[in-house]
Amino acid sequence: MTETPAPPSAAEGEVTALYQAHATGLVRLAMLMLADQSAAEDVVQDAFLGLYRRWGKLNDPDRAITYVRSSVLNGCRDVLRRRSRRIPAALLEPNAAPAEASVLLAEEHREVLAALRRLPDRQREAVILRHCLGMREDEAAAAMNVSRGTVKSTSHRGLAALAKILKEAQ
Amino acid sequence: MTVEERLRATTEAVTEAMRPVRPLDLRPEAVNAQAPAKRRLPRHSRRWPGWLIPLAAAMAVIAVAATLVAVRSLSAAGPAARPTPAATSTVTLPNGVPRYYVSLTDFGTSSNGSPMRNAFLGDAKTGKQLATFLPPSDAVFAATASSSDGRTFVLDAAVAADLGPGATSRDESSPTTQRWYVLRLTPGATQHPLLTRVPIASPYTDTAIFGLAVSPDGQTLAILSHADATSKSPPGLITLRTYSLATGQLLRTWTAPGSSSAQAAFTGMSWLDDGRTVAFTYPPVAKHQDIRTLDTTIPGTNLIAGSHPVFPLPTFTTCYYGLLTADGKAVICGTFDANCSGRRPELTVYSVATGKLERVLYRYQGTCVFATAMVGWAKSATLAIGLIEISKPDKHPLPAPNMMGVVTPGKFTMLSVAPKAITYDSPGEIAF
Repeated sequence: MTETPAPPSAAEGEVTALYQAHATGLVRLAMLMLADQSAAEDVVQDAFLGLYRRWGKLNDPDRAITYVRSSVLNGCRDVLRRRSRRIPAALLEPNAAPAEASVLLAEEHREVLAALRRLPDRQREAVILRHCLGMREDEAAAAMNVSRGTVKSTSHRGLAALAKILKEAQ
Repeated sequence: MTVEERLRATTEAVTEAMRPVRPLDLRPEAVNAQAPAKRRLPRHSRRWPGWLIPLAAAMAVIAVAATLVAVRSLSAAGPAARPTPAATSTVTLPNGVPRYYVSLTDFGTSSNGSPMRNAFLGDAKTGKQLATFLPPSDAVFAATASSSDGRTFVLDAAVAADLGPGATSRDESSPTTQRWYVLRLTPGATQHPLLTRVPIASPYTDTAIFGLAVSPDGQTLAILSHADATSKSPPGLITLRTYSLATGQLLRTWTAPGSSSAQAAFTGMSWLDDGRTVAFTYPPVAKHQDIRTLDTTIPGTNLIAGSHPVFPLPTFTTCYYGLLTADGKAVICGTFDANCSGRRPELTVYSVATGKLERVLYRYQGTCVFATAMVGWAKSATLAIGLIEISKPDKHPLPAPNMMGVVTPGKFTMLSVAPKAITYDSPGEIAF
């Protein structure tokens, strides 16, 4: 991979302004994915650092936040994979997911986060973007780099799977 | 409390539990320290390169202008339709296994911001991608189904009025409707197959489609739907309708009460080889679900009274998207959330007659971090097409190691499918 050139001087101000405007929402997105604020903040920081490094190459700076949101989702997928490699299989059962313990939540909310973790990647992301964060289908589609139809069908399937998982846990 | 309400409550709880977010660190050492980590994260292998998107968007507009969705062969489509290199080795398909398939694939967003999802026709024997179909620019392909003769495919396209050329954003209040297209393959034909619109007078505005099935002779389409499935009130009816694929004429209608909490869980609906019976999962979301069969030749309009529960589905985690075999004698289940060190991804067969586990049709014995097994086509208790979606250590992201193949007892014969075809994770995304 070629080395990225130094970003323009204006990048720092632009990226910092974007971070101030969107960091809280993006960390919340990553927390829903990871149930761990430190890991969530790391993912969001990495995403903005990536944006900063590539600022000069952006075709459309107005879509920078879409780029960052996609980067956050990619980062969360990577964390989940690394985490699943590290955690013994027995702990991956829904009631024993260790990450939820790092967020002080009531039991019913920990159950929901644990159930979300059991969904396939695309379903989890679609459900979180659409139903937790209330994003429009086109926004979720852009973040996931899939079609609106996929967001619609995947979030519906994810909700259905989530309902089944939660019912089975009762 | 509905699932959506629980999600919102959990989101609020997570928000309240958040500490203030630390400031962005753009010091050179932080930027330089981050760079190598990003280089370890390749782009998702199933995404299309960004340079393809403008060309693909232009092709979509062309498809709209032509009214019909034009079929494009690889040679005719040019670079915009060039796929990830497909396998070219020829495999010997067991008797009765369909040779052709249609798969839906995402490939980014158009220049006006509209997401794009195409469909392609593949040859599982040679591994060749025969044609690519682009939806009109105001629609996205949502699902596909096929007849058991392997010659007729149906595509469901979800249409949003504000997704047309020039659209820059999606208005959630804009209604979504459905269009239906049929693809018929003629043995020995020299012309490219055409995807033609089925003139169904759609009653499917803002209606969730959660099952499609095509009769074995390719003449009839069954659609299972739920009006207002995602709105809070009032819930609409769950409806199964059959249509003539030749004329679009409505043939029969059956209904059942809907549920405000039901979601469009696209299920493994099928049309049995007897040509009369449709199998579907009911209720769409519940702790206890049945696969029911409906004889479409018997008079009646009540979906529940007119159908019979033939198999109580095991729990979702035990039976992932169970599918009744075409002979009606067995249900083949996949595996959800396996991890290869405890539960292994496998395809299991349950007897309809006894309701009991009959055999493990296939069990993946390799390594994985986690995995999902699904059945995509089920002829009998001993013949199916399965997908094993595998995440392996140091393989980021999915779906590079996935496998799709013909499954017979204890044997998995890899199909020579295009890599893009093995990205599906639920019914309706691929049809054989």
